[in-house]
Amino acid sequence: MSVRLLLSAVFAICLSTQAWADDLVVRVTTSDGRPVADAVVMLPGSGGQKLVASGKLEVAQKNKQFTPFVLVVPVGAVVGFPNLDKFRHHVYSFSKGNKFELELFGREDKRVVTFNAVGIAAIGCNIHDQMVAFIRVVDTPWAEKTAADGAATLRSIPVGKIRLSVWHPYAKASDQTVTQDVTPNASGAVTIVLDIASPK
Amino acid sequence: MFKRLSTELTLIYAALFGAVLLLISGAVWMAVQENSSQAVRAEMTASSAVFDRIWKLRADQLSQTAEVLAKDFGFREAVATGDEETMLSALDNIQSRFRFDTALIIRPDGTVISLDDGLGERADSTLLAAVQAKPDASGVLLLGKASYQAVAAPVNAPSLIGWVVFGRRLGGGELGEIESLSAIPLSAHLYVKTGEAPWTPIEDRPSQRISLTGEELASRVVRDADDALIDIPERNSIAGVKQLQAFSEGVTPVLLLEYSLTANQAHYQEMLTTIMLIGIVGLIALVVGSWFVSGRVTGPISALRAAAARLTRGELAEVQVTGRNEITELAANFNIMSAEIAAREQRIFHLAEHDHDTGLPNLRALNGRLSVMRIASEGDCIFGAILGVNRFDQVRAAIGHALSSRLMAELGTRISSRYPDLMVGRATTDALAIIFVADSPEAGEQTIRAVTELASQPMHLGDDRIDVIVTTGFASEADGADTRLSLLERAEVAVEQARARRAADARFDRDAYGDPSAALSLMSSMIHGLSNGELFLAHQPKYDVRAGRILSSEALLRWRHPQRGMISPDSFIGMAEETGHIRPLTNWVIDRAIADQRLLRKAGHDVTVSVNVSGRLIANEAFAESALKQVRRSDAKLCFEITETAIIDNQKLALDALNAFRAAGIEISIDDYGSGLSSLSYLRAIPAQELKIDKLFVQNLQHGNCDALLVKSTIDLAHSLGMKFTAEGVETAETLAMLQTMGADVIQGYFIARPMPLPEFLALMSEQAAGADPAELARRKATGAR
Repeated sequence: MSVRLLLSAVFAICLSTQAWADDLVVRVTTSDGRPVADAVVMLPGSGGQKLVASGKLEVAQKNKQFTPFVLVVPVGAVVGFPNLDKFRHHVYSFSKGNKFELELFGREDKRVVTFNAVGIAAIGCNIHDQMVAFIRVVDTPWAEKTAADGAATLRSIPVGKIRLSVWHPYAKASDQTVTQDVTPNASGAVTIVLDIASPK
Repeated sequence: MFKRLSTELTLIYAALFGAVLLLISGAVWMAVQENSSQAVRAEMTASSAVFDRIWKLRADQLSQTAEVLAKDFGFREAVATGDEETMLSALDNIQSRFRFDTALIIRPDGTVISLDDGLGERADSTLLAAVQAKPDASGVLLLGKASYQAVAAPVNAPSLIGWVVFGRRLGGGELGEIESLSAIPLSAHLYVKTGEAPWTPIEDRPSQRISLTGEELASRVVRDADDALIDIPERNSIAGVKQLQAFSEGVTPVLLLEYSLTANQAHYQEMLTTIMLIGIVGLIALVVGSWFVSGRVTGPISALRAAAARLTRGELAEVQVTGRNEITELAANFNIMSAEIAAREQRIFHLAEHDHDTGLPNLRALNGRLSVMRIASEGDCIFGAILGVNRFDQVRAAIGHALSSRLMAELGTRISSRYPDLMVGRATTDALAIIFVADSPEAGEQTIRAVTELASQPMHLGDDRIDVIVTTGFASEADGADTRLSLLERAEVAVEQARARRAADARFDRDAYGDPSAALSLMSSMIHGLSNGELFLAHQPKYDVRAGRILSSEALLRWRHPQRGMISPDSFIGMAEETGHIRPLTNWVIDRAIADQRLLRKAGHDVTVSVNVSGRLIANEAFAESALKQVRRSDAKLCFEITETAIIDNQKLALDALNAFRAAGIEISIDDYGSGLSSLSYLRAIPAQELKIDKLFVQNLQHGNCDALLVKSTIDLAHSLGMKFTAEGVETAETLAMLQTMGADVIQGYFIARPMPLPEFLALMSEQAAGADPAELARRKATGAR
């Protein structure tokens, strides 16, 4: 609930900057029309503008699950890994540039990791195999992950032809990414079809 | 079918036993076949299950190991970070620890990391496709030419970053393991097929040769067939085909478990061999046993058969059989029969060689002995003699048959007790025969004389004293050997010769015997002569004294032989009587007489024609019948002249015939009266009309002795019996005159006329008819001649 509030707050800020650019609503669906959540839609960045994170930069461990499943952070962001379970976790990532290992830590331990490399960090727990999370480190201000309804809104995007990338950890595509040149319609919405493989 | 009963029995038993044995063997063999087939199928299923278990165990081990490695944090880090050295060392570690044959890591981009440098090239896209389709793929994996049981495990860190694949070479251990675990000897083989390529056998055990080629398998297994059992008749085996899991799509691996029925049947073979051995031993025992048993049964039968064969050959046959059964009884009966046959044979033999009445050897025995003598001795020293007892008929009539037989026996005993070297036998009823070998011809003759003398001595039979007179005829083997007579036959002839000479003994006289074979040929030429007119009748007129005329004639047979001239009737009539030709000859004479009489009648002369009928024919019914027929047919007037002795042999038949002749109008005349044994009783019995006195009496009339008295009394006798008296052989007028005075009725002789052919007789009869008295003519002729 608090996230919602946070999002609506971000929304309000964005609306204020709408003077020089339009917002883009991206809908990600599978080929049979089901919405795809946790897909990250991105536009290429320019001029060192940084993404303004819309929520807490945190991947919590709760009930032997990472929350959230996908987190979009700007490069150089410090992400916290709070352990909300009663037992300990061993969180790691072997992703290039963002390799880290948080050896067994408990609830009382405050662990943070700084993600300095643009890309994907696949995060797992060495103890609990089923715990998987992905942190998408971006160097663009226009990046947003889709909600449960498969929609994500990119605010104040540059006018004109835009090159839109959609990534999902289990997307059936090369590098799990689909990149398209899109022209938003009058209502500023675009739909991207992305098929998702079942999680392994 | 078989010559011996025991062979037949033995063969039948053996055949039956053999048939039973064959049935048992066949049943056992079928049971074995069925049993082994079922056992094999069951074992196949079991082996297949064993294989499944082994396969799964190995797959589990591979899979667990792969999973453990795939979860290892360090290993994941190495994979995620592309730390090849670490990855390879981890693979090496696992591979050597678990003795895997292959270990590799597949990356999502399809690159393969393996200790085997060449593997990357061998691995094709199907490998990646397989693990992408199924991250924990398991099954048969082909890497180049090598095949493995392989298992994959995904490596997540935490997302998929690759797969670990571990594999063990196929065709080795697990196949050997199945083979060793199986209860039945089988050989396991793997085959694999990729796509449409043919089946390829996977085999890396040099000791185990591949049983079937891929093509052979393909011809039997339907594509993608489920597990199946196939027969391989050419190898006498059956095989189970089991489909195995494939690691990747498009590969069809199968396990072939071949089970050799030959091997399975081998130990049944042992059982069959045992059965056969027992059978052969049993068969031999049966053959020997049944041979022995049937020999015991048929042995006595064979002995009986052999004895019966001996009996057939005339030998003495006795069978020795012990025990008590039907065959023994049969043998005992056979022995009795054999003994009886032998005894009977002896009796028959004795009878054959001995005279029944006297017990003396018979002619057959004597002749048998003679043939033995001939071998050892000179012909002129072998003597045979016949001792004929004179007047034997009278003796027998006096003392009876039994005593007369005893007389002959006593006579034989008398001779043989004095002369043991002589063989004495009975030749005929009234004659004994003697044969012996003399030291010299002279000694032989002396012996016979001595024997004759010995035999001719009175004999006492009981209270009777019998005078025995013996006439002996004898011959040596050398005497008259050219005749057709045997020694004793010659001696018999000699008896007759002796009797003729009224001598006590005589040696066979070859010259007196003549030539009987010539006589026989005389008969055949006589038959010939009858048909071509060599024989003819001559008529001697018979002058009736009271009538002074010739009223009858005697037809006499004449034979004018073309070469030998006139043949005397004496020389062939007797022969014809002996040979039986007398009957047709007499019939012929009767025919001629009838024909001549007919000619005479035609010329106006009534003449009774007399025909001589042999004494032998009177009692011959066939002759009597034919003669009567001849006479009745012709209405002839004939007279049959017979001698009174003609009726001696068979008085009744002879008198019947004479009466029949009389009834037919034939006159009967007694011929040659007074020459033989004249009997008044015969004279009375014979229904004769004429009595002809023997010409000897007539011819002696002139000499003035007592014959005149005899003739006169005979004339009176004839007249008193109602017969005419005929005198034949009248040659002089004086004799004629005397007979006329005495009262003779008919005169016949040269004085009146000689026997003459019919034409002359006709002429004479014509003269008489012209008025001449033949007697007067004769008288005148006689005085004229003088």
